[in-house]
Amino acid sequence: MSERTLDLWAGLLIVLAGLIGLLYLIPNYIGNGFGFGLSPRFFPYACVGTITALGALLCINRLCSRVDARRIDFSRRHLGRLLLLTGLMAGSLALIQWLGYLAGAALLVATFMLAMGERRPSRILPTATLWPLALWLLFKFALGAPLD
Amino acid sequence: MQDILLGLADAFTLSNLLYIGAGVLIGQIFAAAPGVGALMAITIAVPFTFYLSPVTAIGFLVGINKGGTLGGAVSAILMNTPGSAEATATTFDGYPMARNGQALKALRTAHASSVSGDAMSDLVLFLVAAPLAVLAVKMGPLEMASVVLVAFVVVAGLAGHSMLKGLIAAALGVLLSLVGTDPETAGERLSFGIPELMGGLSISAVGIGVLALGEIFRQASVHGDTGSQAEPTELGESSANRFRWRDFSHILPTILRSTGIGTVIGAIPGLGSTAAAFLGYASAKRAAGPDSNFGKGDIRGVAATEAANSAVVGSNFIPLLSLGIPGNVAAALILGAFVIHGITPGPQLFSEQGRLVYAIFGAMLLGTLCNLVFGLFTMHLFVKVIRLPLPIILPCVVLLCVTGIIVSSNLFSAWLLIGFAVLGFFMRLLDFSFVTFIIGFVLGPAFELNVRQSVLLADGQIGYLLERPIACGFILLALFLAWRIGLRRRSARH
Repeated sequence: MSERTLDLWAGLLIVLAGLIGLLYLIPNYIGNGFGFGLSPRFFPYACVGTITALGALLCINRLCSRVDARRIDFSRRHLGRLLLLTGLMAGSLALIQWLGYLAGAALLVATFMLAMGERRPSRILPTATLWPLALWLLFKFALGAPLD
Repeated sequence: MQDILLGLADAFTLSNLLYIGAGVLIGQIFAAAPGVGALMAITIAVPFTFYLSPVTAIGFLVGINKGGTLGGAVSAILMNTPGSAEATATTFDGYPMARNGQALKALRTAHASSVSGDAMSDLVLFLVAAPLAVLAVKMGPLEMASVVLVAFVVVAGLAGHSMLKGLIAAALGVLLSLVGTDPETAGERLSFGIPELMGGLSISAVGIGVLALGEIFRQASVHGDTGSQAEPTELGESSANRFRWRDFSHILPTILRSTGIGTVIGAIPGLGSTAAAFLGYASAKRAAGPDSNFGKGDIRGVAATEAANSAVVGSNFIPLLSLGIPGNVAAALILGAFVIHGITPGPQLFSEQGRLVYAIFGAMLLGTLCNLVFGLFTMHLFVKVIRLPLPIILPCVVLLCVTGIIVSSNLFSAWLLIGFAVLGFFMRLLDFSFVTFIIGFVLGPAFELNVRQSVLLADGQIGYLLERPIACGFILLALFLAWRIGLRRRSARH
């Protein structure tokens, strides 16, 4: 995909997110303060307003620009891999939450190794068991901050 | 004088030496492994410093930073693959030297140049930071806010390819720093009723997510399988491969020139060690003339790059300690560690906690010493480290990131890591400078405080601004730089 197209989409998303922030999030999730001094909404409004304006400028800039030389190597396959990694991390964190550190940590290391192209069990099994165990022992006995 | 002696006494303790030494070793190892880098090591290490004293914690992080400047050269020289971006120019002459059977000599050159550049830039820091802080202490909130504004514009303009994207990243960083409670009314701000968010987003979660995991996700997603790696060159022992004193005297002028370049670049927010390394190399090549052996294995090429990128480490503490503005991401993370330990870097630091500042200077000296000593013995260990394949290293680093967050905050922050990792991934993909984002996040609270105080002092009168010529000057400078750098970027695109 070309950088110009990606920038256009990014600018549009930024403007959309900025408008949601200005019209919904800030009025509903930040209080009005005590009525004197600066409102707690002052700085968030300033930041989101700046982001929205700059996002709009980015869109206009890229719409007016005729230069489209740079290509960015990003496709559905890359997005799929990103979703896979995100899912693996979320699954491992859920396992840490429900079954404890060692189980989730072993799953995290093993699945990430598989996702990064390692297929040999002789490498995956020792790394996925010994590294989490070493960290667990280090924190429990040496640093006195158990991970469970 | 008393502060200096007491500070140095605080720094020169056995436990500090052990932690700083460990930091240097960790930095060297992480930087030696291609695709990991010392910056990732600093990011991951920040939460682990919660339980340390401020001097030990800062010393440990500075140790990683110093060690990292040397480690990055190892894979650049032996594999033609820089361990970190700042070592890219080291490949130009380092790898040809290795191919000519001078791998060990190239590594020793990198070591000597790196330590020399680092030590001299530390010296400049010690001499310059305090006088600069004396000047800065006379500035009020409006001046400080305008200095931060200039820093945002400079970093946004120089750290990425687009000024607009850089400013968006900075504003996003500032916005995320506002999550939590309002400093005046203690009312909730964008915490959505979640108790864990009331205290704000931790620098560890944001830093580890965007910097470390974002990069790992990018490598694993865009490059796919990361299993194939080049084999490193062996370290043979021969007379041609030995680094002698006469080699050092031959490269000394190059080291001095590159150290000067690196020190100046490091003191300017946003440029960083990669720019310093390339400028140092280009300057040495120009000075050597057209008949030189540059690009084919000239020892001065390695020296120029390594001295320049290492000189940045000390000098980017100049704006950090005297103005509270980090020079690059590593300094921003160290600023985060300062804040975690209840210290606010800036002009007041020298007058209020002079002893601590000199203790940090002492810790930096220890870091340089450790880098010098360890580098003599660790080169063969590095060769083993760079043989480790990425599909083993990166998953272990991911677990280290998660573990660090669980230890320093809670499991909720570990869940937030996923969101920040995805944010870091897209920032890299779309070229939104994550450097500017992190600096915006770290400087956000100080920027808000100074703007708030300025608005209250002005009491709604715009004339207040006109009564502050220094602040006016900085604001005009910010506008001029935004226009000038933006225009230059635009013409570069066309």
